[in-house]
Formats: sequence, C-alpha cells, structure tokens
Amino acid sequence: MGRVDGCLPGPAVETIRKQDASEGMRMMRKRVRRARVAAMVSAAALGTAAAASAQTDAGAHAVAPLVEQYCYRCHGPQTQTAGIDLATLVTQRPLVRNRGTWTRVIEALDEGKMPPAGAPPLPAEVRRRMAAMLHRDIEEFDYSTIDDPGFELMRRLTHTEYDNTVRDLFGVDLNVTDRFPDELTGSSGFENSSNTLFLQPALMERYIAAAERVVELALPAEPSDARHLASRELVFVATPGDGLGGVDAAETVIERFLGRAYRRPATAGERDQALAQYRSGRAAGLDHEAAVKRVLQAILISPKFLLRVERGRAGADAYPVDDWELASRLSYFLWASMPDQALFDIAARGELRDPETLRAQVERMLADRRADTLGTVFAAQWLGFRHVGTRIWLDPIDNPWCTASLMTAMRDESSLFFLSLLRENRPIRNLIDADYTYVNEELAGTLYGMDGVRGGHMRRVALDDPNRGGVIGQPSILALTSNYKETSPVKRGNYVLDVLLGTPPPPPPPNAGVLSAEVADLRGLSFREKLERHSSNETCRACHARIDPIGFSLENFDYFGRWRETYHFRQRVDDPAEADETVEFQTETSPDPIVRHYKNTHRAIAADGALPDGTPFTGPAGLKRALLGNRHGDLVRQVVSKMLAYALGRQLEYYDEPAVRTIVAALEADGYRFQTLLQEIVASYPFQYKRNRVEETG
Amino acid sequence: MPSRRLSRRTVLRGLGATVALPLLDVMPAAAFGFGGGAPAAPASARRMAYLYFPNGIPRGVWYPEETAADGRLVKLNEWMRPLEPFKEHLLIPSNIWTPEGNGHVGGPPTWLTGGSYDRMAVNAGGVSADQIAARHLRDETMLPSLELSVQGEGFFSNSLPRNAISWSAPDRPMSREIEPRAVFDRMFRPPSGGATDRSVMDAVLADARALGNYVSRADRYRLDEYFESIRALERRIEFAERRSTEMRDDGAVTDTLTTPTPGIPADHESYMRLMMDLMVAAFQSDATRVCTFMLDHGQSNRYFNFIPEVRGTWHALSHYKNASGKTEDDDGLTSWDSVEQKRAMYAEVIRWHHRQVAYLLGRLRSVREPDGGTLLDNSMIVYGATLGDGNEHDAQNLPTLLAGGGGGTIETGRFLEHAEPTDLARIHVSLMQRMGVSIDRFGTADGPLDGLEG
Repeated sequence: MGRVDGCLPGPAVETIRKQDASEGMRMMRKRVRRARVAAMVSAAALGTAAAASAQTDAGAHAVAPLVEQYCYRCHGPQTQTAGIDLATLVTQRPLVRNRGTWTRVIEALDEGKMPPAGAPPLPAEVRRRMAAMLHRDIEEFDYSTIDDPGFELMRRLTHTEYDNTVRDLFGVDLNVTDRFPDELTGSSGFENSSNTLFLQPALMERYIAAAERVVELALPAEPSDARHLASRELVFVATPGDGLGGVDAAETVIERFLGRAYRRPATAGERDQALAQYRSGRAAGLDHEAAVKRVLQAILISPKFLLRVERGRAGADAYPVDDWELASRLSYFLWASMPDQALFDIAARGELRDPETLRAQVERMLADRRADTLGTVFAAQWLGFRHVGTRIWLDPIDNPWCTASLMTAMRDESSLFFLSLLRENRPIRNLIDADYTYVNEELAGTLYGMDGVRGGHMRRVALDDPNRGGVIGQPSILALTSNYKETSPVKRGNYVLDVLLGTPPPPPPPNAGVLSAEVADLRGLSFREKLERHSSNETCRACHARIDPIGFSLENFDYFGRWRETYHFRQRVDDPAEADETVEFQTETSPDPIVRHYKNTHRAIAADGALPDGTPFTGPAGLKRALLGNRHGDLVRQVVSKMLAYALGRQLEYYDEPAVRTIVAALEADGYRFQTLLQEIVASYPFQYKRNRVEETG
Repeated sequence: MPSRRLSRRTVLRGLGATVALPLLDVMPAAAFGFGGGAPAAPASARRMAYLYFPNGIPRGVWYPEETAADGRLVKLNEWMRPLEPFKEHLLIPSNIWTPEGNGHVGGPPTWLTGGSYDRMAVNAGGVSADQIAARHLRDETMLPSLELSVQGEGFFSNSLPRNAISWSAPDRPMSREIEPRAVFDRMFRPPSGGATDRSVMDAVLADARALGNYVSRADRYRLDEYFESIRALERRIEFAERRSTEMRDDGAVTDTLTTPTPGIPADHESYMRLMMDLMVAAFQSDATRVCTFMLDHGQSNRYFNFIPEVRGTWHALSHYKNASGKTEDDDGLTSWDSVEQKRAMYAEVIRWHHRQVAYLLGRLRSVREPDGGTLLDNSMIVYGATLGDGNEHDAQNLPTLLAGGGGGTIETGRFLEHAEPTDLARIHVSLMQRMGVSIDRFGTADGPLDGLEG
C-alpha cells in the first residue's frame, strides 16, 4: 500500500478524493471574483426565501473578519490548503450549507489543531469566540427556519428504469439498453441522480431505435409464443370486429397505453393527436395493427415517457406533487419502474395521499418482487457491490476458482441480505450484525469454507460465527475494499467510516504522496508495520490513526473474504541458503537470466483495532460490537441519508436536514426498523412536495 | 462555407427526390466521400480533433532531444520515437498549463473548457472548445461532432468527471461512444433503420412542445435538451439522405474499412486503431469535422501487460517513485526491481499510445484532399494530458502537442518554447478561430497562442 493521497477507491464515493493537483495554484483574481458572485447569488436567494432568520441575514457574517485574519493564509483566496476555501464558504449562507466543512473547522478550533504550528497563533479568547459563533450557526442552527422541499430538474429514466418500465408496459423482459452509452455517476453515487442524467443526441438515437425494437420484439406481426400472446393481451385491449370499428378499437388501445406510458391519464388532446397518427398510418396503407404499433412507437420516444415529468406551479411556495406524480415517485423509488394498475387505481380515486392508504401501498409494494431493486440497485450502488464481477474480478486463468457464477453469488448474497432486512422489518443494527446470510454451494464452499450446502440456488443459512453476519463479513464487501489479491486496511477503514457511517476522513493533504520509498522498500516488515511507519509521519498520522486500525481489525479476512489466521508471505531474500524457492527468468532487456530467491513466511495476524475515538476492540466481531455501541447514531443517519437521496433522485442539501431529523426521530421511537424508514421517507416533506427554483419565483 | 452548401443543394435539387439509403453492410462500405468528379468539393475544410490520455507522463519524456536554433525539430527524444516520422507535422509547445486546475478528476472536464470543475453541481465551467466549433459547423456536416472513448478498466470507469472532456453546456457532458460498430452506424447508417418516418417525429415534437407549458420554467431546460437532441438527429437524417445521392464508388474512404462487428475488440491495439480508422473515415467523408477521443478515462488502471516489458496497471505505474508494488491500486502481485524500471514501464505505456497516434497521423497523411494536400495538412490534432508528472500530480508542463497544418495556417515541425506558464486555452482559441468561430477569449485565455504561424 502506500498511496493514501486521494485515490482511495470506495464505492459510490467521490467525496474523499484529493483536490486535483493545481487546486492550490489558482489565480487570486479569479477567486475573488467568484466569491463576489457567490455573495450576490446568496443575497438574491435570501431576498425571496420564504423564511429568513437572524442567522440568514445578508451582510458580512460576524465570524468573517476573524476567519480572514487567522485562516486566509492557508484557506483564503490565494491558497486553499486541503482544498478548503473559507473565503468563499463564509459568504455562503446560512453557513449550514457547508455544514461538513464548518464542522471540521469547529473541530480544528476545539482541538487546537488549527492554526498549525508555525502559523501566527490564535489568542485563546478569539479561538473561543470563533468556536462559539460557529457552534451557534452550525450545531445549534434552527432548521425550523427552513421550509424547502427542494427541486431538481425533471430527469430521464435511468437505463435500469427504462428496461423495467418497458417490461411492465409490455409484460416482457427485453433489456434493450445493453448498448446504450454507459450511465456515469457523480457525487451522489447513484445513477438516478438528476444532475447526471443527460439526454444527449447519442442517447436519443438509441431511444428511437429502441422504441422500434421494443414494439417489434414485444408485438411481432406473427406471435409465436406464450409471451407474445401475453404482451398482446396487455396492449391490444380491444380488437376490431363484432361491431367494433377499427378506429374505436384503436382509440381504446391507445388511450390505455398512453395512460400507462405517461403514468397519468391521457388528455383528450393527446388522445386525438395519437388517433390522428393512427388514421394517417391507415391512409398510408398500414393495416390496423401496424398503424397502432406506429403510434406506440411514437409514444415511446415522447419526453412524457422518457422523462419523469411533474407539473409546474406558479409561485414561491412549496406545493405537493399530485397523486399521479406521487404514484410515480413511489414506484420509481421502490421498484425502479412504473406504477402498476393497483397504484394507478388508487391515484385515480384520489386516495393516495391518505396516510393509511399510502402506508398500505408501501407494504404491498415492498412484498412485490419488483422491490428487489432496493437490493440490486439501491444497496448495490450505495454499498458498492455492483462492481463485483465487473470492476472487481481476478484473472480467471490464474484464479480458476474465481468464476463468474461465484461473483454473481457474492452480489446476490449482499442484495438478498439487504432485502431481508427490509422485508422482515429488521432493525438497522442488523445491517452490521446478523446471525444469517445467503449462500449457494459455490459461495459456501469457496469463500466460507462451509459444508453441506448443495446446489446453485441461493438460500438462507444460519451463522454462528460472530465475525460473519452483517455486511462487514460479506465477501463482496471485503473484495471491493481490497486491492488485487491483497487486502487494504486503508480502504476497509475508509469504507467503514465513509460508506457505512457517513463520516469520511478528511481528504489527505496534497503533499501526502505515497509511502516514502525508504519505508516501502524495507523488506521483512509486515504491511501493518509499514503502514504504522507511514502513520508515524506527522502529516499522515492524524487521519491514518483513525482509518487504519479499523482496517487492521479485518485482516483475518483475505482479499476475497476468506478467513485466515496467518499471513503467508513469499518474501524475497538475497541469500540462496535462506530460500525456499528460487526463480530464474529472462527478459528482453537483460542478456543474462535473472535469479530471485524467495522464502516462505507465516506470521500470525494481529487483529487489534480501535475506533477513531480510541475505543479498542479485536477482530471483526469486536468491530461490529464497537460500531453498534459507539457509532449507532452515525450508522442510522447514513442509512437515512442514502436512502432518502435515492428516493428523491438527487443529492441531499442542507435544507433536507429537517427531513433527515424527522425520520431519525421516528426511527428512534420505533426500534430503528427498516420498514419505518421506508414509510417515513415516503411520508417525508421532500418526497411529497417540491418548490420552484428561486429564480422562477421572482 | 456557405457557397459550397448552396451549390450542393442546387445539385440535389437537380437530381430530384431523396433516395433511401441502401443497406450498408452488404455493400462495400466504400461509397462515401468526395470522389474525383464530385461537385463543389470542399476547398480546404479544416478538421479539429482532441486526443486525451490520462495519468500524465514521467517528467522528461515529452520535449524534443534536439532542436535547431530557430526551434525546428531536429530529433525527438527516444520516448517519442514513434512520432519521429511525423515530426515535420508536429508543433510541440512547452510549459503549458491550465490555471483553473487539472488532475485525474477535475482535469478531463476542464481540459477543453478552460474552467474549473464543480463536482457537486456537475459543472465544467463552460462549453468545451470542440463543442463550440461543432455548434458553429453543425449545418455543414451530418454529425456536428464525434465523441469517442474506449471501454474503461479500473475502479473509476463509471465516474462522470473522469469520462467527460466534451461539454455541450457547462452542466451537460456529451456521451461518448465506445463501440466501433455504434460509431460506424451513427455515421453511415440511417438512424433506426430509417423506419421512423417524418410524420411520427413531427407528431412527437408537436406533443413535446405542448409540454413546455405544463412543466415548470426550470424544467424547460431539460426539455430543451430533448429538442436539441431531436434536432441533431433530424439534421443527421437530412444529411444522410442528401449524401446518398452523392455516392461515388471511388473507394476513397473505405478500402480499409469494413463494417465493424458489434462488440468491443479484445485486442486493445486493434480496438484503438479501429476507432482511429473510424475517425479518419469521419473526417474523410466529411461526416464530421470535429472529434474528441479519450484514449482512456481520466484515471485508467488498465493492464498493459500485453506490451512486452510492461507489467502492472497504468495508474499504478504512474506513481513510479514507489516500486514496491504496494501503492494503493497496484495489483499487489506485480513488483519492480527499481524506480527506474517502473518509470520506464510507465513511459513505455505512453510510448505505446504514441504508436497509435502515429498510426492515426499516418492514415491522415495518406488521404488526399480535393485541394491537393493531405487530410493531415487540413487537420489540427491536439494530443495531450491533464497532468504533468504523474507521480507528483504535477499541474505544470502538461504534455501537449499539435499535429497537422490547419489548412496551411500552422507552421509545424517546431518546438515552441515558452519561458512562462502558458495557458492551454490559448491553443483552443487558435483552433476555434481556424474552424471559423469568431472568438477572442475563452476560459482563462484572452487570446490565441502566439507563434503558430511560425
């Protein structure tokens, strides 16, 4: 290991990376200008904000001159050490907009870490005053002054949502998005985030081709199997004949399809326009079915199908989305697909906003197989295990045991486990600690060393090993936090702090670099010893003292999550007498064969660890206990934040804090049950309401 | 080039109706481009391309080994050897940087915008230079631009900023094509097999327009994105129809290019060269004049074990000062004997990319243009990275070179030395101007790069 400077891969994490190289070299002029713009923007926002408090007053913040005097040298317009630019942040009001960074500032003040040695010192009285002001505006900020359910641009369906929606529209699984341009993810880590769902020409071409393909595949002119017949039944709800004219049949079919594809009843105008297309198709010589199909194809490239459209309202006040829109919010959250008929029916009756009805729908939908996407999409993207088998894999020639089916089973295990937490309404703590998991024969035999499991299907098994059970003991998670064929205590420690607890260690300073060459090259040192030397470097120690001990406690799990008691080294030695093995090879550059000697070494693993607050523990079981004992609050908050962000299809912002707190409070009152979490998210203000962008209200 | 467009339209009108495109996979894919007798061939249409590579370079492998007193390139350094046969077509500027930031994450999104990248807002600080040129030329060619990349390897393969150099709006990256067949289809096959006819599209558009009154004002931004995409497609259909009337079986474009099979070629060199062939075909047939090609994503950790003498993965190699095999994304198995050896492997990976670029330049040089010059003479190809020394994440001395004569407007074959850090965005200004864009300032640059004309 060694590079700790910002390239720590963690799933769904873009937040921990080092600022890019020249961040500290930006031109001052530019910075100043931008700060002014920011000040103007926030002032404009305040002018129209629904609720203003003393804490959101425009004008210079009382803490600003102090920050300028004592912090700008390293965190001001000219230099932004560690990427922190307090000159800009102090203008972004309320300060809780950048709560994370200000919390770190408060911490640095409280602990006396800043200003660092060598910088002009901060008088104790000023330090107290700054900390107090920031405390008041950050930690004691009165969130009841904020009334903002948020707003994001309407977004297109993700590829997964597109496939699922087509499946539910036609009753057949076609997966036509295989060759669509890849979905790329930004800082939320979820593909459904509005700010990364673009509609580029290249994608539009795929949509148009896919519309044609979907209609042809689902409704071939000559249906040849049961699936085709089922799709026909779903779409062609009326056929000409028996006194029903072609146009009348088309009208029935089209009206119904429009309502399902647009996820709300079609307007008369939409229906008439579609019928006009049908007629023109007929006039051009198409038969009844072909003409209808051409209309369906056009519907599939309409923005009303491709985008999650919600109606705009005038004014500055927050407003509830309508029942149809709520039905879609619900179905795309729980199913990553369109609403079903039952949900449409309730929306049509105007009953969806009835809290009891809504609760019952969440329960019904969770029980439906379509809710598996909460495991295969939500959990897979949050916890990162979707990368197993794609980004995380071993060369199959050198590692014949690492098959595609094994990696599928690893993903399935984590996803089935997460779904069991939801469907069995388990407490959030079970995410970390549970006495069961899901395996098949291959997974049980290859990675768990478990006998007696037969067959390829995944089934639940009881675990009596306290080190297993919960995501931290699952091979998918242990593999994705390893390097190729080697564990990475840093990645694992970081994973626990960032992905599971939502408290990422601060990004490393730009000059953190790699393990120094001298340390890295020292032979015979264990990885832990090397890393501890690294951590003895003052620059690195502060963070690594928090990250690494968590990772060390998991060292009994190897890079694919198999249990081990010792490290096996093949260590290079110079003296052939010491060697257990000698290798001779030739390269093109070296005329003479190269000889290397290796010695096999075993070393016991020391699995002692500690939480950042110093709480000591041993091994995975100890880590789990310590997390649930000391960090349960962070775990809950993180689960709430991640699931809310996924439900809303956007990054959380400071104005979502009231919703997060309400949900956490409801969980606390109810034993932190997962279904309570789902219910509370669905009942939350940002899930049911929206507010126009500020610039629209003026 | 309005005169050319007019005359072409006249010809079309003379020929009469539009003709359906034939099925291209069953005919020699040769039939495109401007043959000897083609009317109103472009006098000297210029082409612009950006080739991006990730992970920087080891310091000292970019600038030439020997130059004459007047800056003429006498000999490239050993690591640039594949480009030696093209040195009279190269301009190597020194001391290039991007003042607003670069690197693995912020680098790709801002390489061509001259802005700084806002991760939370997904905003690259501006429209990229290629897209400005593309918008300017969009009525001239079937595709305003092509965005190419290769299938990613390594953890960050799906990271948006590491995959986006081309931005049609500050908060809207272009999606890139990674499958050769998809690129071919976009250029040479009618969209969706030609079955989606006009009346369907018109109906959809009318319906979509009505939606503008239904959604909130902000949402119309997304709707605009929809319309723009549809319009781009319409232009392409229109062009495809026109082009089909101009086919000449002169084999100019595609004696070497057959319809690629769907999927990703397993051999990386064949893959990359096929993408480059498509680029050449695009320029030659005038399917587009603007192209970006990310030779890999911004933090690629691809294995280059297929190069003799190279072990390990690209990003891991770039941190060459640690030869232990234990940097954070080393595979943990590969180790090196020395820092020098690891650095040499890192440089070898870059030299491998130079070989591919040399292949591209060779292809461009082999194509005759109607004005008598070569396609390379009429092209402007920027090849470079958003990191200087990869081990240090050096923000200065970004490896950058310019190939091609810009239609006689660039005097190549020179080393253009700068004593002071020089803004990459100046090069963008120079290139955009040569593409006919009226622009003086761009991003952080308040003018073009001095000295291109010699």
